[in-house]
Amino acid sequence: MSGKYRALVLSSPGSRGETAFCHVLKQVGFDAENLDINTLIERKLDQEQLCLKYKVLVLPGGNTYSSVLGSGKVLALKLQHGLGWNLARFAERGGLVLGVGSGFQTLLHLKIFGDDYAFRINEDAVQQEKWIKVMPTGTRCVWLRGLGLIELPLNQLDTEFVIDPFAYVEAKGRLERLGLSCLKDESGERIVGLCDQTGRIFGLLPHPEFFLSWTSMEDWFMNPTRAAAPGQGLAIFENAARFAEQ
Amino acid sequence: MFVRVETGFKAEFTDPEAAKARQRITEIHPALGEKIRWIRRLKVYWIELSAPRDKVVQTIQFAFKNPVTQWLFTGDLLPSAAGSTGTLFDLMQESPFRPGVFHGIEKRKRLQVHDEDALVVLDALQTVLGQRSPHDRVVSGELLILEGVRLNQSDLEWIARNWFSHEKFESWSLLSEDELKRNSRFQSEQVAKYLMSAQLQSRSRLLQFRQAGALVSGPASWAEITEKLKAPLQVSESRQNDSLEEGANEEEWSILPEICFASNCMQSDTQMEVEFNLVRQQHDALASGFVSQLQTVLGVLPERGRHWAGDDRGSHPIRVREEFENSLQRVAETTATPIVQMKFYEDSHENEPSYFWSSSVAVGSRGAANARNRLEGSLADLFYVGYADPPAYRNLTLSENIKSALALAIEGDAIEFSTASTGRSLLETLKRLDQNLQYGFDLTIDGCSEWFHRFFEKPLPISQIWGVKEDKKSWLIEELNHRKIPFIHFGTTSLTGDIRVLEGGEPRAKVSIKDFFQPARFDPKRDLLDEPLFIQEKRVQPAKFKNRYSIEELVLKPETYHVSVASPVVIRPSLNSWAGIMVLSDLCGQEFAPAYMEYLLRKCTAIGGQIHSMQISMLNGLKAWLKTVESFRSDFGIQLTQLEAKGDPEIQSHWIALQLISKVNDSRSVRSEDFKYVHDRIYWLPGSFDHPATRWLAGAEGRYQNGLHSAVAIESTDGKQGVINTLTYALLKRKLGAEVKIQHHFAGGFFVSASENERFAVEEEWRSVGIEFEFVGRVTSSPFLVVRDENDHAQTISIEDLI
Repeated sequence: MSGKYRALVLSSPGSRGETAFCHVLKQVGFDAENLDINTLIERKLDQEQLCLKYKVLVLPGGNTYSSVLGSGKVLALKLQHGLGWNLARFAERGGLVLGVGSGFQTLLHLKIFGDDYAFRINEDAVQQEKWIKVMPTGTRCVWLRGLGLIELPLNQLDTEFVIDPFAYVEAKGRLERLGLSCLKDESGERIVGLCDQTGRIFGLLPHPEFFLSWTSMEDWFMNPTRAAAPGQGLAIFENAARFAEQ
Repeated sequence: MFVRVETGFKAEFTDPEAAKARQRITEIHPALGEKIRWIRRLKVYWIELSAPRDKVVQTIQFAFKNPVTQWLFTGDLLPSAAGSTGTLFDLMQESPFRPGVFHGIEKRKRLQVHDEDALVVLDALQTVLGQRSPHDRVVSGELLILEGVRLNQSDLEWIARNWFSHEKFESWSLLSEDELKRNSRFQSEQVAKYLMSAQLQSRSRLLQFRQAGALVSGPASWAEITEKLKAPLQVSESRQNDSLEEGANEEEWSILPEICFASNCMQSDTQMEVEFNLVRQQHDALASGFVSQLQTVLGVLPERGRHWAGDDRGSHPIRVREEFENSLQRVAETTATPIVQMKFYEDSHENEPSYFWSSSVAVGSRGAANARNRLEGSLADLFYVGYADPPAYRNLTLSENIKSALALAIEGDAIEFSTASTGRSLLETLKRLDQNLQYGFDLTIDGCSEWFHRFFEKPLPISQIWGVKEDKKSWLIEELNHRKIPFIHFGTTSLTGDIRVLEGGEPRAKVSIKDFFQPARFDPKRDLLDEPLFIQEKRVQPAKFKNRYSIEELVLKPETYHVSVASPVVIRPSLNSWAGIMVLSDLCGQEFAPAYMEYLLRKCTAIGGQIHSMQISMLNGLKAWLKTVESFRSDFGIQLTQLEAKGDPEIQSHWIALQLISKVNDSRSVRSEDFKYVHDRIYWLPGSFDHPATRWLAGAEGRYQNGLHSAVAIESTDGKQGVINTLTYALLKRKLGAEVKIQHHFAGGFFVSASENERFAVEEEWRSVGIEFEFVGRVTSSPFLVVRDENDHAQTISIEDLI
């Protein structure tokens, strides 16, 4: 694919990783563009233009809007009310959406996956960068097709996925029944990624954009022969490119 | 619509922020931390949105609701999903120590402070609303709910003052358990109280109001006038650049855009740390590109008589200030525009006095340069430009006209000198023109005798005094008439070496210039309110000082956190009256003058045993501090000691603490001069300096000072009109009203206000302490001050008209 499809990486105050996203999306063949949310609001890029112009929408992570009102909340309000975007409709029309870190939380606030899910801070955890082994579950998610156990960097170690206690059974059942919980940690207990029913809107806590080459790993030198190998995060974007080509 | 929103984690979830808070408190104050059994931390927002109720409700729901993990409290605006009552009581019920004793500490960012969180929330709300109104506002804050039977008010105040709300840009208040359970804080009036502040767009009305009410006495005798001409002008220690010279008008400053820069007090030490860090980003932005910004601003201001006011609300690196001032200078020199740099500081606090002071300096002043270069022996005609009989309406247009006329006159090279006289008496204004009138002048009051007598010692309305070149006089008179600008030609400069007041060609009063222009002396009786000072904190090593605390000694008290301009000293140690001030540190500048200290000491000792220590901070580090210490020891024989610092040992500052501050802080609500709540009762407490009422207000006796909501001092010389003026000022801030009965002369004392709930406790304590009191009226919601006399005749003053 040679830039036939365009990808939009959405910046907002406090977001990070846009450069990495643009780089990897270009690498896999998209024509990636990084625009600020307020610029889009000024330009009044509505739902229709979004669907026509872009194939992929990426919501990067970071501490957007200083997490006032909650991580990712203000961005969600801007997308929903400022731009009037309906990401579910975007996905229905063949678009792909990736939300990473607080971008994932934005998707939760937009109720993409339902009403009963949120994140909370686990005060016993220590905020530090760490690598986490994650395992796709189910086959629905377009972004995770063909992937097995992979290792990805996780910046928000203290963030936990939470299901509404008052609707726990039903909400948990929905996740499993519909295959929405598509990414779990190695133990299979902790949900770190969700996808919607189309499989095209994918939100995850780890950051694949920061593992594009093997040398991103802290101990890559233990396997120096693999230095030239791509990182496992690249595979997620390659899946998106393959899907776009279909 | 005014809305208050509180959000916090649901009871079934732990609150990580609260856990961190508890951990921090325990680290800082282990004994206090042990008293806290349960804690929760909520985000609070005070919101004003220009939208109908249903839209606001919808917006709040979209923006704040997080039904999975959080509860949202809005009073009765939205049905709360929290528990059975839908109030904070449901959260408190989840405490493991039920029923428990709960306390609340609420903090909020002060108005006019850059509040990033509030801006983000406002942006989000306006995005959801789909409209942006300039009247929309948000203030952010937090609410800390603590449970602990052993927690007392002092503990809560300690937490608030030393950790939770120790920043200068925050204010705080305590909430009782009862208040936490109720929804009264969500009421529109309560929310509006935090969001509304009386913006003085123009003080001209206020000035006119004051002048209209000023007692118009009959013409003083010429003997009295001659004595007053000889009397020294009672002014504060004059700073070099302390006079308006280029026609800047006092009332204008509040209207024009703000620029921030360091005050005079911060001019010498680039490394000092000052806690005013409110607009650092703006300072950095200003540092790069001042000139273009200045010219842009000038471009949108009126072409003539441009006036740019500076707003001193923070500290910045000296380089920023210097760059700014250099830019001002460049622009002033390259344009034909008189530019005046006005510096002011306003500190407005919940439950504490608000103070306001300003100084101003002409930049690139042509007039000043001309005055300096004036040839010896040239004469000028004295013009008063303004109304002789000021009307009682806003005359902002006049101010603009005067400025534009001045600019024209300067261009026409007609002006020898000029100065603003607004708010100053004629006598004071002339005494300040010592550079321009140094050889003498004659005041010819034929045709303006009434004006002369009226304003000889009373403040003038919006006006300026010009010295006009003799050969340009006729041209200027024609121009002023053409522009319909009122003026009075009231005299001429002379070379006689005398000051004369002439009527009918005869000198009615005469003094020599030597007697007239006596140098302003440092007068120990001067009003401290004219001398704002700054408390600053300096990181120094405490190596040489012991930790001892005694009521007999002046005590060095290093403080872990900043020394807030707002927090200390509310009592003015004046021999004649009480009022609230902030004690600041002009006393300890580069050249420490023991005379200053003696002055303040004398004032403090006049309060007697209430003073345990004095608080002054250091501007210039250890060297000057040691000098201060030596002065104390040698000049006053006072042993200095140091209290142990609490908390972070790396941050220490040395200052002598006014222990009365801590007492006053206990009764800090007393000190705020503005009436706060509708339906509060207003009392009159007569009392001079050593009266039981003043001792009680100072906190030296009794314990129900916190029951008061405000206290405002009345001088014995104020008279009825002075009382009305004072009450008016007290109502301005919150645009409240009052109905009071003034049936006799108030000799001096305090007006205080208290709520209905507190009245019995407060009145009982007054009786027990032997304080006379008189109920005079109530605070009302409609913004009118209604004053009834002994015959029940009412005088009504509209507060809104004065704003």
